[in-house]
Amino acid sequence: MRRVESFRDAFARALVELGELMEELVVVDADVASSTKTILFAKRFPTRFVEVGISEQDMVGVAAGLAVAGMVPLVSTFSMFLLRAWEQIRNLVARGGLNVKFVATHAGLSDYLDGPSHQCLEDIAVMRAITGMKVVVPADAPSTKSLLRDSLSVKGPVYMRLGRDYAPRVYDEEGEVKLGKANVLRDGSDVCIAACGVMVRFSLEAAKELGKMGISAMVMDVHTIKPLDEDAILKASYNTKGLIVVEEHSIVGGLGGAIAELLAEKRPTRIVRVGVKDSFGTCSRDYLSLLNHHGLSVAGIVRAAKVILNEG
Amino acid sequence: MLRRMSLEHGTSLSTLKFNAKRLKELGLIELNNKTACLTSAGRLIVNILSDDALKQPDVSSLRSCSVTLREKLVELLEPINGFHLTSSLSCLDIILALLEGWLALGLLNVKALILSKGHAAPALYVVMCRYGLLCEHELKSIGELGSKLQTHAEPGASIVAVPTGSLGQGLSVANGIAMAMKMRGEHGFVYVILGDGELDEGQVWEAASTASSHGLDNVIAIIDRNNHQLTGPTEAVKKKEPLKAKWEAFGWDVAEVDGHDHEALLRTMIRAELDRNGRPKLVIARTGGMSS
Repeated sequence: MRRVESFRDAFARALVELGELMEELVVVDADVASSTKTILFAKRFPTRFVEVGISEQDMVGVAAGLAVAGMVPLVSTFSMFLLRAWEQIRNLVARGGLNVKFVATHAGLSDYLDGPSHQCLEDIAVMRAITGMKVVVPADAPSTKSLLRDSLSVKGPVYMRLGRDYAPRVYDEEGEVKLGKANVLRDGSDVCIAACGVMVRFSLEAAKELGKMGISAMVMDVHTIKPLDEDAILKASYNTKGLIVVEEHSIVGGLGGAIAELLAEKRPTRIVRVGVKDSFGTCSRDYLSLLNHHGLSVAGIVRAAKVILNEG
Repeated sequence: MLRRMSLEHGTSLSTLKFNAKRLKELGLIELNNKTACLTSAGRLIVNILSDDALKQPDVSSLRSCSVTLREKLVELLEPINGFHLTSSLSCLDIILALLEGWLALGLLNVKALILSKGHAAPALYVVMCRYGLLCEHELKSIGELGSKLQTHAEPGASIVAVPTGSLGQGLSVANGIAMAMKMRGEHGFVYVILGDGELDEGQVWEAASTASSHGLDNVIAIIDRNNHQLTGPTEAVKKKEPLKAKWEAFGWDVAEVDGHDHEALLRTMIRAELDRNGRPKLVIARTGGMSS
């Protein structure tokens, strides 16, 4: 897997481009602009960049006020630390139906060296529980840019979750994904691998491995977790023997939870969740070893597929 | 001329000098041969703010009105177990003076109002009713299933800018609105009413620091200093004093006033609007029976 443009670089560059087009776009930061890379926006548009210091709750309140006054505020910080303002997001932004965008970086295990205090494995679950919140997890740099653009073109709150640096390519260029629409990247008839974020690329690799074993695996990029593309998931459940849901998140309440809720009600289907098994992260000197430690690997996905097929 | 304005309005000369540039930009003064003269727009404003309005705003009628509204509040909240009645009663006169100065007298330039102590929504509703912003029938429906009048303030049904009810969040929102106004070069002020109990929330102090760091002199916060919170006297639950010194240390200009004196409240708000010196303004409205 070649290393290309990181999530945060892709996000920050697209943000500057959008800043040129949208005069009302304002970025709100809590002293992490050099880490989230919104510093690029700050340099280009200093009067539309608001620094509140290390105060996440205040940051969300300020963004709510900016939105009330007709601006389009984009709040960006580490996913872990945005969670301390969950109540403000719920009570001010969502309850007020305000047009505030949240871009949370360093999500999942991507902040590998900083350890469990920084590794956020619960955000999809708690954000998706908020009424009216859209939850988006791009797979790579080009889709980050597309989905950021889409998020800013819809009214109301959006939570976009990004990894830090490692972002192996899934898409050749921007515009191949669309907010709210799951993307089938590979057809298959035995199992369906539904994934989000960096795990999409891992799932494509796993599908290749399965192919060598004579197993036909469909791969779907479910970048929009809320609202979930129910038709695409149901179709996959009809066309395969079961779903493997892969995410860099706790197995509690994330994409796996969302798909399980849907299929349990509409079409009970065998599901295996590949994610962090209700535990915290830990420090690591490299990202891939940490993912592997938690079973987030090509081999882990292949094993899950075999579990489904061996039961049949 | 600035010295004369200073004497007339009791605003410090240094503040007026600080504001002179801004006044020129606003077209309120012009410079002729190094002498500042009021433009016609400036003269109009000075007239409005002359003795009649600034020194003696006629709010005497509010005294009897306040009694009527208090009776109405008690009656209104009786069917819902006196829902936060005391919290509403303590800030009723603050809201009354604000809306009188804003809607009836046109002396205040209010761009947004936030009720950070959202549980005092009933006080806002009865005052809104007085100014024809709500009808009696709507007022009586408060808290009923299907009523647009929620027990905690929400936009749409009331004149607040943002939904509240969870404490400690209003000042941050006021800051955001004030920043947007500055970005767009808009005039006017964002008013936010806080309870003294909610000052326990850390977010209030995050916001206090944000307001002064960003020079938000278009934010006017009013604390309903009633000395009580849910569990008991504020100073017994968690110390708030020295309140004035704390806010001053956070970079705010602070005025203290009797929170049931409509005239004093209104005069303090007008003065806060005139003093565009780069510092946010706090009014500590004493509404409790005894100071601690």
